[in-house]
Amino acid sequence: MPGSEFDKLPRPPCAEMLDWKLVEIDKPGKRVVVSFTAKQEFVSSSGFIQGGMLAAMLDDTMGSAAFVISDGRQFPSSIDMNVSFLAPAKVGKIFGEGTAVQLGKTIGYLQGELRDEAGTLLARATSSARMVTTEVLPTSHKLHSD
Amino acid sequence: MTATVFDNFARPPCAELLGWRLIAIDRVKQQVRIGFTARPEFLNPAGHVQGGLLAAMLDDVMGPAALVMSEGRLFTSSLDMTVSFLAPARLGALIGEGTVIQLGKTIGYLQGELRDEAGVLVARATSTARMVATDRLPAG
Repeated sequence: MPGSEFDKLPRPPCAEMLDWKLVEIDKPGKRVVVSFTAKQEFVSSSGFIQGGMLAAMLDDTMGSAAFVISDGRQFPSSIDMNVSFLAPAKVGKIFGEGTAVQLGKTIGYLQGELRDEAGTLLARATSSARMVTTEVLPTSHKLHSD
Repeated sequence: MTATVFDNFARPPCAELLGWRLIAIDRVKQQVRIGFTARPEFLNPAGHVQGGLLAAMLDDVMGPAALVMSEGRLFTSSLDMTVSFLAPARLGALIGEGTVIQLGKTIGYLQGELRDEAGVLVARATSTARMVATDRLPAG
């Protein structure tokens, strides 16, 4: 993967926990592809990945899209999120595709999809978010200029 | 806390991760109250708890509400969930309240609220779920 907006941003703890990795950026398509690892700690009583943990992955997928498509100038502070759970997810690798449907000065409309390695659609989400300038991020997370 | 239906189930890994603990059951209101701990690993770049992890906590209040109100006979397999994020959540204790709106044979309608220790409502959710007999749960 060549350089991207994410190189300037320290990896947040939740990205670490979800094992977030950037796979692809498609700026004309306003789209990013990322991957996660669904860990044993994320499993619910059903033996599958808890739905909320999939929502956490979708949140990080859609947030990544908003950040990249705003050229690293804005990050989304989610207002709401609507998730559909389509298939049970197992421990292992999960791919997320996030799209910035529309980014305004203050509100962004985002969507996300999660698939397993076989390509099965596990969950999808839409979200609206308040777009916040990255300058207001806490000092330890501020963009480095080098 | 006296004996509850939860005593019959192994604590799942995600409950451990979220610091899930049962506080109270209110059968009249069809409600359960559950505590969570937001850990440093849950933080987003803004230094707040990532919204999806609040959704994970809300998922883990609505499911238990359905389990308790069905007398431990049914668990929820979520079909969808709509979450509103009302205030930033910080590290530490969060209190969830899960309510059963209606439980049918196959579909349950649930809602959940999450507050911080000061009582500020940080997120709320509604969910519809497929109701599955607990005797179909994997052993252990």
